[in-house]
Amino acid sequence: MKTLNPRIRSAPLVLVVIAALLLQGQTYYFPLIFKNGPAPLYSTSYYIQNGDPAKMYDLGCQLGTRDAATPGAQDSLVILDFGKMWVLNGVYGVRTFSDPTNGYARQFLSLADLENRAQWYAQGYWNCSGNDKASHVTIGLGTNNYDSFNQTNITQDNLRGVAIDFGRNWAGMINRLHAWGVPTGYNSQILFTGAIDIEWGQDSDGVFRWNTPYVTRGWTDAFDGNDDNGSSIYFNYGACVGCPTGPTLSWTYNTALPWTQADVWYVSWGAEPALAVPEIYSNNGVLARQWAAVSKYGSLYLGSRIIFTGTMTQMQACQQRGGTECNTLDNTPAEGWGQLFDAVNVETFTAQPFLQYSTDIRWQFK
Amino acid sequence: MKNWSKKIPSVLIAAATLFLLAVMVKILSAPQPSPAAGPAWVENNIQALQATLAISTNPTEEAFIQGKLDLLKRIQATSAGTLQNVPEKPADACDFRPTELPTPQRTPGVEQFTPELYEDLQGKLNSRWQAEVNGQWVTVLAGTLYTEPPQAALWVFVENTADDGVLPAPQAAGMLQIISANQARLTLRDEVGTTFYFDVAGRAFVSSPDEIVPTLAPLPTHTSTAEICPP
Repeated sequence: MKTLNPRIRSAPLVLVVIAALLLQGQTYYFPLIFKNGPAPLYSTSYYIQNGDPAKMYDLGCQLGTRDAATPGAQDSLVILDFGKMWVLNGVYGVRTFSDPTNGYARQFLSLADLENRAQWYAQGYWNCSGNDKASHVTIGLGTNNYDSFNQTNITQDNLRGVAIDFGRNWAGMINRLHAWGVPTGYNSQILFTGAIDIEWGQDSDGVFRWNTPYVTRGWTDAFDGNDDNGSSIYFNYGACVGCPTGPTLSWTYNTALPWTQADVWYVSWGAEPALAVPEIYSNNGVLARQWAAVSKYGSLYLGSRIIFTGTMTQMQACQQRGGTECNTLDNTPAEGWGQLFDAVNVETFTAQPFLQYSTDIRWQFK
Repeated sequence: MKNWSKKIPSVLIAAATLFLLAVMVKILSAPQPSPAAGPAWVENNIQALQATLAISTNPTEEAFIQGKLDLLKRIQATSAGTLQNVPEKPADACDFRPTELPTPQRTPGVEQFTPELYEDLQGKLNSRWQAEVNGQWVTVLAGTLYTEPPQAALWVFVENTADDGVLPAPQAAGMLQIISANQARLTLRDEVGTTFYFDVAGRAFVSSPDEIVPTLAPLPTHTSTAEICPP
């Protein structure tokens, strides 16, 4: 058997080493071979039941304390879900979730109140993160597209009009929080964003109370129109209810709530300020595959895949309240993150090398 | 033939060299990312978008992602100004905690209110009773549970315990409302005017105001977590 000259045998190896040295510092990703790496440290998001400023400060302080005690710089997304949008005596605000510390009564918080509460959360984080000046938190002021905004006139046009008012005002609130964070210096560790749990579906009594795409897109478009020349963003942290697991042009949720994958894509990514942190609750991974399908739909028919910013899970809420849905919808944060990462990286249409955040929602009390 | 086979390694090496040179030229000619001007979290988002941009082969998508990148860079630029005036942090975070709002007075007894959808409790509620029962604070809410079909029901919560639940009242029609209370015995009425009684301590619907049912043993109270800023 003829043997090659040792110099010739080692030449390819030398070339590879030289190339590797030249490529140092550059990371190139190729679809279909991504590995599901370790999930990021998850943050805790909250269903807000009591908007007392001191309690909001405490929540921010908890995260700040954790980040200060965790080696390295942390980067968290926290959604404060203040509940559904609500108009009370002409004032725009939210109806918080029922408060166990107050006989399960609900609070009305105006948008001015929300702005104030977000500031207190931020100050809690800032003060309690102490010497850690490198960690960051993105605070999403959250609501949802559920119910009729306390309106007696529930025609689609009226609801859309109210949703438009809310979207514009929500963006205005985020703009003001940005402006507040500059002179105070808080923006060096804190970013404020909007957030909305956009869903549809049937309540357990068979009634449809979530809003249509016509109404909901009123909110997203108005947010877009008042986002301070494109410097405020919002996260959709909803579920893709009943969606197919492949891109399907003919799919519509139903006639009462005619959501399509194109609508989902639009409110989650297509609208300029939209970014997506979808709910990935299901143990069998179907929710991740539904969202990957929306991304593929965007890639095939609308010009762009969705680049997801992170995932939301509800492990802690399930630990608090249990219930039958938690038998199948209690992914851990790492499971939810891993499912979406894997689902989008199955094929080139939806591949994304980096999935930044993992957040897990719980009730403020129980 | 022999000469040709001798040349194969050289040809392969030459091809590999050319390929690597082409890759290097592409890398070196690509614009290098400038250091982040603002906070790192936006930078991380930008990196996520840029990483996907690098593997995109669709010009429409590239333009779209570029739009998102521009959006994040605007945020980054706004935040960059903040880095000039970062204040010192306080030595004691509790000094800056706002004073808690006064806790609403908890008045034992019945309260009726305009029926309201409570999506977190999956029902529509119209009344509340609360009081201390065997040393524990208990809240009972009444209304309709959103099952299909909807059912009249009570929600019972014992403060700081795992003792809570929904108790449907299958005999009742429509919404159930708490009318009055005698100690921990509630008088309820449904939408067609039928009266029901509920014993809170026994967690049971009873047929008359004076029917005796066994009292349930109380569940242990949760130990409260340490307060961040103790009073």
